[in-house]
Amino acid sequence: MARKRLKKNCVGMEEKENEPNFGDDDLLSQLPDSLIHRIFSFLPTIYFVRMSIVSRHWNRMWVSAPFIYLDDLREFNKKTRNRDKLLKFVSHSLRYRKLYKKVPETSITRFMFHTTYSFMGSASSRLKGWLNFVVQRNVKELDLKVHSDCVSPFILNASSLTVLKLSDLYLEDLSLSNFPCLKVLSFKNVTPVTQPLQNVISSCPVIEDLEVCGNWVDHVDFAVSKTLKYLSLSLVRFTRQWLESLISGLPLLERLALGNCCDAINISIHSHSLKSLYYYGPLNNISIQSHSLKVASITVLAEFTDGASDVEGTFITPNLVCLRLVCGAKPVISFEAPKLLEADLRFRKDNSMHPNDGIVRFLSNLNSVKKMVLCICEKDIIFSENIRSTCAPPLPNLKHLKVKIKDVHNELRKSEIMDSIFWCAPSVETPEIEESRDS
Amino acid sequence: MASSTSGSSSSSKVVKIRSSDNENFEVEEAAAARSETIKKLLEDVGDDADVIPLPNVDAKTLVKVMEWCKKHMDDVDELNKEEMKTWDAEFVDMDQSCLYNVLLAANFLNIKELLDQLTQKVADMIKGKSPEEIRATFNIKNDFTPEEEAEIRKQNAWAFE
Repeated sequence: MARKRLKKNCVGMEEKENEPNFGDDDLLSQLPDSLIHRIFSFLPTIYFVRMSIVSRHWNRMWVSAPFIYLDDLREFNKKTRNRDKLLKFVSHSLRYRKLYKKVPETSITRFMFHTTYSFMGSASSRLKGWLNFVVQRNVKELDLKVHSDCVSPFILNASSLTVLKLSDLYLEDLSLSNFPCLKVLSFKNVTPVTQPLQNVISSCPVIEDLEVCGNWVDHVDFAVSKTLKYLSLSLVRFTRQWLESLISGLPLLERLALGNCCDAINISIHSHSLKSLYYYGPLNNISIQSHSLKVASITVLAEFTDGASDVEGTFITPNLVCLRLVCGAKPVISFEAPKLLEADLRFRKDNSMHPNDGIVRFLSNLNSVKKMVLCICEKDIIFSENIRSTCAPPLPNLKHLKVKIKDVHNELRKSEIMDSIFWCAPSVETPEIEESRDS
Repeated sequence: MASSTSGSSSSSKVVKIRSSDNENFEVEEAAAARSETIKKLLEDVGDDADVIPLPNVDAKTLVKVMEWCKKHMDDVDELNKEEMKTWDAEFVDMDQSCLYNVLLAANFLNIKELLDQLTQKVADMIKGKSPEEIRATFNIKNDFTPEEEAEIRKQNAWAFE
């Protein structure tokens, strides 16, 4: 079939083409196949199949799609949603691909299967067949989110993988795994996590991106290839020493995210490569030494820490540019961060039992900041005459400030707050005050 | 010849690019280098580059693409993520012919993040629509006879039930 195509394979700069005739034309159908496939990679494959009926151009185009994305078909089965429909759809669509001779065998780049249905026991044989089909075709990216116990042997054979994302699976022995090209690995709620994870990670010599989301299971203890750039651990248990030695052994690590890793209430990070750090969870003490760190986002969950002490710590981060800190009311953190430009500070609790000179001391740590969002209680931002006469204004360089006042019970004391802001940040150009609904 | 300048406020290095309709643009190198294609051309020609010709992209489209590149020039600013998201959503909200032109340009200039945003936008326009609605949205002419259409529907019943 002859297809009208615009600027197909725009790689050579030499080829000039006539101005496309864009009017009331059907522009979508004129896009090159590679872009069409990219568009449909965001949608469950059923959308692409159903395009067959739209026009001749679209008929069977889906058969050669390099991205297969299977889901529960909820949108098309509102009344009679059931697993059999899904089984039928997947079997038919894969059989079509098999029968359609023009499609090269190596045509599948990504196989994504996300379902809430269980594929345990006898139902797992269907899934086995599908996995066999895609693994034989040297699939590069495998993304499975399914309650099933049948995938281990297929994963072991998929040495062409560059991306492997597993969620909700039961894994057996993966001790023989070998992934020479794998760059991205994600384990979410996989059981059992410890052994398969250790086996798989140790067989990925060029891994760059690792994400582990656990299920409050055992302590993990794995070694990662030095090639790792991005690491994300959440709901995973490990020791402080383990994390410390892991990070110091990763010379390319750029991004670290730790979420609700409850055993890590004291963390200490030394890194020459880390650019961004995200922390979410309970935290007592944080000590960071990094010349490369530019962005730090720390959210301290208060309910786990005891009421008396708030987060303490030290930042020796001479190149830090952005800081987000969400915590109680009395963080005791010292910053060596002369290049810090932006700060977003949210103090959750009020500081009623203490005079607010602690806040002045904390803010004066951040005296290089030019742009700040500050979420705070009303009385904690109104500084007394006593404080003003004994302390220097903590934020002399601040230009843009937005103060969000929380827990406003009565009329907002706007003029008093404004007065206090101008003492606190004498060069401020655009002070804003608003009531905050954030908790 | 018309000439436009953008990004003159910064003292960083500026490169010249030329659109298919022979309009010259001066763009900060850091913004232009969001395009892998331009980046590679710059590496190849070194500092001797006079004007980089982009024969596949017209001026109107190039302005749009460079607007995006300028906004996304620096490392992703984590604290402005929300703001950036809003900006991106407004950016891709353009009429269809403009959308496809920018899409083809992003493909040619090899700007992966922009390409992802634009293809995602088209996908969002397809999502939730019936074949009839898709024809209407994208101006696709149904060139099947009613019999042919019925036949395809029958053949693919497993996707239409």
